Amino acid sequence: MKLLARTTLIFLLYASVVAVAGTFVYYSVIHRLYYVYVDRTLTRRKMRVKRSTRLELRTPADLAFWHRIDHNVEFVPLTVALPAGHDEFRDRMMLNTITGQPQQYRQIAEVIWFQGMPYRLEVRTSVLDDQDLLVGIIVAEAILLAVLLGGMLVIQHVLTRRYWRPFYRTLGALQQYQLDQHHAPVLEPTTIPEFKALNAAIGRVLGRHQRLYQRQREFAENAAHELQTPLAILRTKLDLLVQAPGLTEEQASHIEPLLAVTQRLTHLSRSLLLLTHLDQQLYFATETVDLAAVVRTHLGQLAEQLDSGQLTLETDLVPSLRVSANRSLLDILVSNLLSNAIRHNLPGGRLRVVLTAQQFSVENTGHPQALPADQLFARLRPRPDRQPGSVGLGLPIARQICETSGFLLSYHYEEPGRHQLRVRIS
Amino acid sequence: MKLLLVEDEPDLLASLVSYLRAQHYVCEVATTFAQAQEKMLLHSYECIVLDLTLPGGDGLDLLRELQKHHPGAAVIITSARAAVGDRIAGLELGADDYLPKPFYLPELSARIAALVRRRHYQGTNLLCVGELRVDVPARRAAVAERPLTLTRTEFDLLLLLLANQGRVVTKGAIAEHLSGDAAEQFDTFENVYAHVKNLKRKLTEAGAPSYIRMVYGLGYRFDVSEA
Repeated sequence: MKLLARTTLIFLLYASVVAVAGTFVYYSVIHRLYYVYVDRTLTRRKMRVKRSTRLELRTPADLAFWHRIDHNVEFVPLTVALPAGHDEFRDRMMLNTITGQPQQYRQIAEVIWFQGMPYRLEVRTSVLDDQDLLVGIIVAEAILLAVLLGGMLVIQHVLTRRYWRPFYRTLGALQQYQLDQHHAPVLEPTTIPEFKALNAAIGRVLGRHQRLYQRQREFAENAAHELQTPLAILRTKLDLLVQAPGLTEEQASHIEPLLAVTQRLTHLSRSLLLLTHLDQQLYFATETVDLAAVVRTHLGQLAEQLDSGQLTLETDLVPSLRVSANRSLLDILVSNLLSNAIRHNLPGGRLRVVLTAQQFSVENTGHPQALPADQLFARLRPRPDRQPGSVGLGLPIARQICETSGFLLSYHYEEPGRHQLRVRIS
Repeated sequence: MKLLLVEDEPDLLASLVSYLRAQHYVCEVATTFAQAQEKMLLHSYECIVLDLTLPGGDGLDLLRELQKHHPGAAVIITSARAAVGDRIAGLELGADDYLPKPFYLPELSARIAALVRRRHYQGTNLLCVGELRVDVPARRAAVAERPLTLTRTEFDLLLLLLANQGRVVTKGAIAEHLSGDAAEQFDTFENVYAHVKNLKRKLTEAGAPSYIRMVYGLGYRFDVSEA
């Protein structure tokens, strides 16, 4: 549930509780005010009637006559003498003589003496029905609540569209953001202080990360770069050293490992350069390449390696598959995956290469244990299964190429001892 | 054969000069942009080996200027700048080849030889070494009129060895020459052994003396005089 919907819901729940409680509060307050007013009115009328009994009325027939004219004033003769001057209020239902309907009345009664006879003077007035009052209040509250609810929804809609827009823009920019893009996202300026602060904070954090990442990347590239010249000197000096006349077998045995590690260092620095290059450049010129032909070419080039490992090659390739990619990168990808599967194979093992319209998969036999997929693509991480001489950048490069080219590289271990790397093409 | 080597790293330059002089090239050197500019424009060379990062300027600018004054000069770029863009820019500006650092000296020598051959002997380019006749453009070889049937790899291997006669060409250099970057994926040189063995066998079968010698497991040397 959205934040705004959530706060609105809580607000509405609270509003309905208040509305229900308010109904009773209103009812009791209005009820009391009304009755105080009615009682005061009745008391005053009763006092006027009492004054009339002293000044204007002469006979009991006058009393009966008054009642006939005004049903709400009645003198009831009492048989038992009661002390006078005590007001008694009560509610009573009476039949309205005109409508014939029962009607609620409020009545004040007092015992008076008229010409030596005790009477109970009753003065009454019709009042608002309690139930009618309650219903009226409930209807009013319901209308108010409905107006409140409608208003809240409209306001929320407007708020979302107008005031929360910078927030959603920022959110969108962050969702689109990738660390390896060249610029931090541009956040839309806003006048709302909270969003201003949020954008400023995000901008600061992103900027710092961007700079750190950039520095890291440049460092890796420069380091690899700086290695090339010393390596070139090392290589050429070794090339000259092996020309030395009178080179003994013992000297040669010392030079050979030097040649090997120079080779390895060269491979390492070139791989690092390629990786940083892949990290940095988001766009590589693409062309339409027949992936099936690329795979077949590389399999042909690796025939000797296949033979020396006594590997059985099984292929299932579509005759032709046109993909849009950078040719050099595609070459490196296919070559890395195939070499990897040969290098990590068991002697006399199997290599299965399958290319369909959707994916390219390379499967090799190996240890009967799944490899940790997250470490497989980590750069230069020492792995127990790493072979001596391998620099451990083949798969990270393959993954980076896949990312750059819009493919998806994943590792699968579905049958025991069969390690599969899959490239989803579409 | 006069070469101009443009390289600012003294140790590397010394190696280049030492190796190429032994290949009977006349080597002139330049270590700065200005020196290179002067020599390039004043003299003409069979081939210019050009480093791109130079004190005083960018090698690509030098290349641009050279093409203005001596269009068609043979240039091999050697650079530590592995950026694909540089490579393409270099080749578009008229460089003939691009050799990323670090490279093997025999490889550079082979590239210079190939370039010089291409420039000087258009079409009719016959290499005669001992009893061996190699027609480079036609990719054919023969020993005393007996044609050799060489695979593409074996022919490339033969050219590399011929461009570095009397010198030891290490297994790494051979592997890289034959299969490019893929060689680096494998540290075993079994395919190098296999190709050299096949080439030697074919040469011997055609009646040639054993020109190719293994040097203590380091690499191979093609030598006519030793045979």
